[in-house]
Amino acid sequence: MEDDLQLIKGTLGGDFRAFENIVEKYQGKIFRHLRKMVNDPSLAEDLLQDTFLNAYRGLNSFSGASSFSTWLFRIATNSALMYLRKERPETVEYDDKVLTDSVDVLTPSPAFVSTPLEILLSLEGKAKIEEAIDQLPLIYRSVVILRDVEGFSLEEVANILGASIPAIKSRLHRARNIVRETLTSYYMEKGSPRKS
Amino acid sequence: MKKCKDFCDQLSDYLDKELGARECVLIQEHLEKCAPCALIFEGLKTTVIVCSEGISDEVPEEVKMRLKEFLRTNCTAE
Repeated sequence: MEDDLQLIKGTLGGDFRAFENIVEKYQGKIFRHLRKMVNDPSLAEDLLQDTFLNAYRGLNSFSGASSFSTWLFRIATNSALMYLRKERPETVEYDDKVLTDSVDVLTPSPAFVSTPLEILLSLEGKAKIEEAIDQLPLIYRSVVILRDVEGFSLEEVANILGASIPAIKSRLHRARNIVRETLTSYYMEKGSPRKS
Repeated sequence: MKKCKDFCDQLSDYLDKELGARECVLIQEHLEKCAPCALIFEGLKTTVIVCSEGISDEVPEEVKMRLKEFLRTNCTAE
């Protein structure tokens, strides 16, 4: 597959197929990100369309200061945040003060870490991971998705979300621990596969 | 003297290789002798692995088709 800069150049030169290749390359990741941001597949589809339309319209403003992927995710994130601020302000009106709230820490249990990866990534296991992430407040959910699911660097996540790196690190620490607690709790109740 | 909670507060940064060499050594030493913290760290590592591999990026075919149609209509008209 051609690299991003070639596809951008092609698109700007009037080759719409080049833009369709960009869409083909990124639609899965962008759809996953939006689906997780808004927790609604139908709304995520509308935002997916908006994201690529806005990317097409703004492509000549892409300066290359960040990677194309970061630029595209920032457009998607802004689309989702604009919608959420308007329609569900209670989900985005968080700030980092929530980080000071305490989280109940379970007694560390080996049940989760001793569960084989193929079970954790089975259909049931994946559903549990999705659920654990979906339960996070948006401020945490977005950093887990961008950092741990999409694999962006901390600097790129900060760039996409318009936050400082220390704020992203704090949110990530908090978010990962909440997900860990949720999964630990689930596998504690379920019981270690080695015992069953 | 650092307590377990202080070490646990650094585990996410440790995992991301965001700490200095001295702090890494202190954490490694602590994890070697503290089983509950070692378990929490293993849990955190497992969490990151399952998050990176457990969320599908599949787009339903009908969503792909509608996106393609939408973009052909709205982009090529400009």
